[in-house]
Amino acid sequence: MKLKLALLAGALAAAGAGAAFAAPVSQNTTAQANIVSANQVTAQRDLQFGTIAKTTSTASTVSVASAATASATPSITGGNAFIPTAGQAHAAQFRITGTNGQTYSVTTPTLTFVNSAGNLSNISALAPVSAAGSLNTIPNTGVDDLYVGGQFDISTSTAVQAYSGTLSITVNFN
Amino acid sequence: MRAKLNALALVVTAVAGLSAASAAGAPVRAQASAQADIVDPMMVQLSWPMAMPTVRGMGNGAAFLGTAPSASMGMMAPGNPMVLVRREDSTAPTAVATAPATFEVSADVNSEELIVRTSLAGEIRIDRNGAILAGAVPQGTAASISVSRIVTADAARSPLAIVVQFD
Repeated sequence: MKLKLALLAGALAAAGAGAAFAAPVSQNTTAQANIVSANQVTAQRDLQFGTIAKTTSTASTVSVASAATASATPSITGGNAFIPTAGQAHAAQFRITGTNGQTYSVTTPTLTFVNSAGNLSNISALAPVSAAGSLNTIPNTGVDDLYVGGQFDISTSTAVQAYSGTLSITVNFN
Repeated sequence: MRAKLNALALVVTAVAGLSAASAAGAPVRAQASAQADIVDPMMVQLSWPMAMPTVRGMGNGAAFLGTAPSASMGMMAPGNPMVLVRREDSTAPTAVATAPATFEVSADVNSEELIVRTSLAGEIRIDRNGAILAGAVPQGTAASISVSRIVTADAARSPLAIVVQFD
């Protein structure tokens, strides 16, 4: 009888000890994730100079300003080239997508025209302007539009034809 | 132990997320097309540019002003308010150009060339350097302007004719 009681007590003790090891243990820790927007630059509108009547005297510089206006008239300096119909020009538009407050930098845009040799000279893109008003920082909307103009020179030897080209922009996101 | 492993896994995930964000520093390039159309100016070249006298409007819609001497100095006066611009280039030597609202005839001081310009503006502008004649078509929606030389037997006295035709 005493042996049985002792064995029973030992079994109960062992069961109690086993139960103590099996007791669940819980612990909390923090979790964190930083979701960022994919940085993108997409062309929304081309660079359009419109129709230019070529100069018959000295060279003329034709320029479209970097501005957000939907229509503009190129400015002419030098020579006697002129614009037959106003309001046919506009700057190119590029849309930058990123994280609000993210900073970026723009390398000097480039402008080239096909068949420009001997016809167009001093071809260059102008410095971009931001629709948000502050270049190099994406506003809270996460979207910023850049407007880029361009310019070139024409002379009496410029061939009468339509010129097509490419305006390139490179954005470095920080 | 399991809790510590879970915490470690979360730290690794967070670090991986930061690495993806850092990849956003790579430069991104975009391109847009550019377009420009170069055309010949509408111009009439004359060997003997003539000064035109002042012509006042008559009837319905014509008004011309000029900086030229008056008819008393022996210059030609147009018989009717007709100015027709003839484009002189290889594509359309006799094409008629439409003047939406106003026109201006100016002289290039260096080459004695006459330049005819048209404009959407409604005001006559003759204050530009070299301008000798300008006109407006306030009653019409459009007009054609012609500047040409009337060839006569005496080439030295060939007059300048400017004809404006209302549409």
